[in-house]
Amino acid sequence: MTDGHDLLAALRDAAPTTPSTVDVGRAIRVGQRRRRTRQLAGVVAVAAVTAIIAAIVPALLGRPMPPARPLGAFDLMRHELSVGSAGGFTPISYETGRYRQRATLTPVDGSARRASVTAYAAGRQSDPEGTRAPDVNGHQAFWVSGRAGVAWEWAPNAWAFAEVTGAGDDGRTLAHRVAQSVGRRTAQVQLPFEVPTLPAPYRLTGVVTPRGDQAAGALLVLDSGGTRVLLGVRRDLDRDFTTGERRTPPTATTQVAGRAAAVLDNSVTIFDPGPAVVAEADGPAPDLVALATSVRPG
Amino acid sequence: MGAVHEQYTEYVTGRLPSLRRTAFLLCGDEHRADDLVQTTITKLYVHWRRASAADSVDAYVRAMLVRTFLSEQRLGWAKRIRLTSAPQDTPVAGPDVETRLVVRRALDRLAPKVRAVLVLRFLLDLPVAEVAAALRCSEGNVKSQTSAGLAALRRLLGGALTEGVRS
Repeated sequence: MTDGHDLLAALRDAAPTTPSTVDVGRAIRVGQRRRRTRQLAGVVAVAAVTAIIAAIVPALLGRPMPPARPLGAFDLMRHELSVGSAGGFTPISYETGRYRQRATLTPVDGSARRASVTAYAAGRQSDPEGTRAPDVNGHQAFWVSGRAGVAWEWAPNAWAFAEVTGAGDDGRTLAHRVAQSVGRRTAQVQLPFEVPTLPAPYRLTGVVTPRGDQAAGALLVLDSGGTRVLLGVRRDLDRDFTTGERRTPPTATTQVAGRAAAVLDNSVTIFDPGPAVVAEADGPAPDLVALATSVRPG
Repeated sequence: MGAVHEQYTEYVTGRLPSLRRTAFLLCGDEHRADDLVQTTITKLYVHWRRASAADSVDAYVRAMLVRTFLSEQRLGWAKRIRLTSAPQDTPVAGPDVETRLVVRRALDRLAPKVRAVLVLRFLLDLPVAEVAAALRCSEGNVKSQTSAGLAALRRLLGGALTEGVRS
């Protein structure tokens, strides 16, 4: 047995416990349609393919091709939604993104329940099909199967999801209440720091801000080859910035640029007076120390 | 066409439990696992001639499943959720449920590719070369991802696993 086998031993016997919903017949039917489309595409020029698909594929599929819908995108530095307190939850953080924005909510009673609201830009999430739920603020809505959640069309051709975990049978009702607390309101993201240059290979994908407490800090969400990195300044190091869950805070063991710091495998914390500067990755990420020292608190 | 059709159906039907388990280990969610398998076997039908001529059909299909998982991770979680009127799942209790949940949660916090490497190597017991082939990367990359993944897992689990395993 290796270390890896030992660490993952608890999952060795894990297997699905519910009956399979995989449909081999459907795979064949869809696969046959795709094959026909591929064969068709293989014998005509690229320019002709566009016209032919528009004319023939609808006939092959037996239903009209839906018209192309415009694809939307969010500004990374703007909040598009406001999320209120509802269903026993209150928002704790808000994360922007190019194609989706997400609010994380925490229970006011200190229980282990969790809730989130995720809103997609127009056309970035396919229309849901399923059981209708009561409208959310006048917008059509659907229950999310297998989860305590509700999906609703928060803007034309744009879907949002509210989900609750750990609430048992009340989950759907609470998720619907959370959904009803969501409104449309754009607001500029305020950053209490500057990062003059983002070094390669890092790419900005969003910003996480706490709700209602700007002094708590703000974090940029960066991507480095699939690894998520949070970079910025924050207070309350004993809590997860996004979820508010308790965690063990780092302690200073070294110095970075003459400042007390904790440098771990995938995180760097510089203990400045006031909020600390942090660079936290969910996997191996290059040059975290350099990344952290590039932050200039405002 | 008829023989091909039968070959495909026989193969997929026989491998369904194994494919569902692999998908479940990768994503940790039974519904998503079934979605992953459905997508994979649809692609498999389209490429069945090439797949059935491979040295190992199982390895070919497993690689398709892993790439489908990684690809869907990049597309965002809600694209994968199903919206139907099916009933809620009933949780299944067991003696190691708590330990399993702790390890599962830690595994889910790893980057998708790192998670796939650990699942393939330590839960499906595949050799490094086969993991590298499935992920289309070098064996060295698999080894470094393994090392980083185990270090991250150890840190995430902290004392929880030790206590859970001993209990």
